Amino acid sequence: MDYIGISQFLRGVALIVLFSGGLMTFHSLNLAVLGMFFGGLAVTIFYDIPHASRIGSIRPNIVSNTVMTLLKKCLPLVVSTLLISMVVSVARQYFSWACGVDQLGLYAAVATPAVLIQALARYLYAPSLVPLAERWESEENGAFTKYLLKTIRFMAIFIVVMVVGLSLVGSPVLVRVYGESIAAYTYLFPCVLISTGFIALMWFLSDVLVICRDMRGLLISNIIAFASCALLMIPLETAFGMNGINLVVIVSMTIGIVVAAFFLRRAIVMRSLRTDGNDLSSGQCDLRVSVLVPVFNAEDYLARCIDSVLAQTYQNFEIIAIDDGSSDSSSGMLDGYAKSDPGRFVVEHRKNAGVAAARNRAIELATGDYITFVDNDDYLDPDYLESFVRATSDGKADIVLGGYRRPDENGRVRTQGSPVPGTEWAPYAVEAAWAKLYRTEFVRCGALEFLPVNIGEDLFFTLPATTLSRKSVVIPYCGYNWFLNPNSVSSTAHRRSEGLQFEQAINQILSRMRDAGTDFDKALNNYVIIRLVVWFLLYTARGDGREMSLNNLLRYREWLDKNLPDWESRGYTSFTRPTGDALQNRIAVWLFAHHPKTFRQVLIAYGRR
Amino acid sequence: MSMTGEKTAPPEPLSVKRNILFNTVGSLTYQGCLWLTTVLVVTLSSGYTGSGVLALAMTVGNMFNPIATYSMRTFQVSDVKGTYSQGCYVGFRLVTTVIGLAFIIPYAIVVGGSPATTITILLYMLFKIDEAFC
Repeated sequence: MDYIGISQFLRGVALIVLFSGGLMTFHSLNLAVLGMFFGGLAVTIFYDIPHASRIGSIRPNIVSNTVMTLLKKCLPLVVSTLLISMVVSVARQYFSWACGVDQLGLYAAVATPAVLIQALARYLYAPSLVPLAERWESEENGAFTKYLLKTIRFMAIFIVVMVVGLSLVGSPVLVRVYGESIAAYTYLFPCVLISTGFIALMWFLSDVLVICRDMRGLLISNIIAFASCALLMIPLETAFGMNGINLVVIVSMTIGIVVAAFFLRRAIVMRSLRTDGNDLSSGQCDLRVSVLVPVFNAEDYLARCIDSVLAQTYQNFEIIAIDDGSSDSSSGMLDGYAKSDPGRFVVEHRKNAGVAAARNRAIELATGDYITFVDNDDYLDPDYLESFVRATSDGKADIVLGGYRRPDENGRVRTQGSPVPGTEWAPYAVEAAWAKLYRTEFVRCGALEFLPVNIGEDLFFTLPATTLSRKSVVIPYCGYNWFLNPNSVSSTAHRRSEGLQFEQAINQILSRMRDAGTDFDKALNNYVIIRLVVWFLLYTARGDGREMSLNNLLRYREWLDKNLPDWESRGYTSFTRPTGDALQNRIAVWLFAHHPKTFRQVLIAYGRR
Repeated sequence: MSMTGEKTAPPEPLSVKRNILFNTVGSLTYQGCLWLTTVLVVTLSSGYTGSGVLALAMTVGNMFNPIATYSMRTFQVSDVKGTYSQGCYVGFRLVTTVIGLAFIIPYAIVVGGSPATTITILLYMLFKIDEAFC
């Protein structure tokens, strides 16, 4: 690797000799730049290629598949890097356009020396990337975070020392180098140094996000940084002139750094959940889980579902399958499983009474410390139970809440949903009963049960459960596979409100939540109900058509007025809350509550989609 | 060619400290010389116009670099399992350099404004193409 350092050294010397030669001899900037090019090219041909060849073949190998894969895989990366560099480039290009190339020349004379500390910071941290990547790949938990924090501390100290030290000597040095003409502009230097320090930090966090392979976080943080630059560039450069360029960079990078740090923290939390599974405590190993599976005519997918439970890395569980009057081979399949492992299986056959009744019966039969629900066409990742049991704090948690994936018939994941720990919406993020672990005693003491209605039956269980829970643990883990069943999808594409027992469901849910002690003075609890109504209106808008959906709009606003007086003012008054819910949902609820006319138009437009 | 050198460790790997030293001295010299070009363009010519044109060329070059290198550096060094060969990475860089030029040449014409400035920016791009391979 010392070749890189030597190559850079030679390249620097060659380019400066030929650049200055071109400028002095021909007084032409173009010939000087051409000289730079030939200087660099000479080093590439006579030093880089021979040395790199010693390490291994460097013959270009263009394989279209590899090229396409890398182009696709690294696209977020390249867009992100481009966006970071564009923050500085565009801020300067706009300045040149607005104030002239001479003014940019003056700014650049002061600003370019700062590139040195930027590059220095980058090369100082560059060798830490491999150890960071190795720690990320290794199973050793905490080593990555420790090394990361150490590197950030080191960089921060370096940047502060450079900013303070160079600010003190900057002005006289610049005057000595460029002459008195620069004296009026040296005041820019400290801000230039601070902005380059921020750029270096943003580079570093972006590189770390790449190591964590969080391309989404990388892209979002850089898009936000660039968007801030685009928004602030004109006002700041108009107000502060040359220093405006620095301010644009400092503010944009600060925003980008905060967003990147958020994603980094999230990646580390998710990583720790994946890796600290090797040592379940003895208390956790003693916890028995009852896996409750209501079954109805599921012969095509039942084996995949049950086998995924049997293949769990955590084996202290029982399966309680309620055959809800199946008329296909599901009943026989369940009996076969029960016969092969009687200690683990409880199978009960009964007349068809619906999924809610089947689940309620399964809760009665459960003997485990915790229960979890699995639908008969869904399936679990092998570490599903282990991940949830690990989060129970040795059996103290009432509920552990996780996320899900939606794979289609080919196993391709179409969507996924994961609660974000620490956000307000996390306990409500997944409305279904599955992808959660409930303490059995907690469910029985709270008399939690499912409601036999054709919409919202899970919410009758999950919403009061969340209210009653004294200790809920949210894990950003997606190990529940909610199968995208082509048959059920086609039947729900144009759902009509007619025939759906929604009003009955929300009446019951509201009264059940009140019984469970829910305080509807709290904005979040209000939001839960309002959001449910908004969801229903949008869900049925297409199937219902304009007239019916507008009738429903009036009907459910009246329902809210009657059952939750002052709901508009008690809920959140802006779309920034609750944290953790998707922005479009918050906007929809906000419009519904505070801008009903606009919401009406949204509903009409949504119905036409 | 450091692009390939970054990925595979030499027969006797250097310690991280020594590695930092070589990287730092080399890159500081390189960046120092790049900075010197911006000083020389002021001191060896009259006024700040040359400095401005060179600064503009540098900003365009800094936009070209991420596309041409396709920001593969971190991806490559953290490919600790060696998923792709060195030849693949070199071949890939040839492709991305061409893509980068396709984007940046029209952009340079727009940003340059006058033909003289645009020519300087494009000449500077030649230098950046070579740099993308180092």
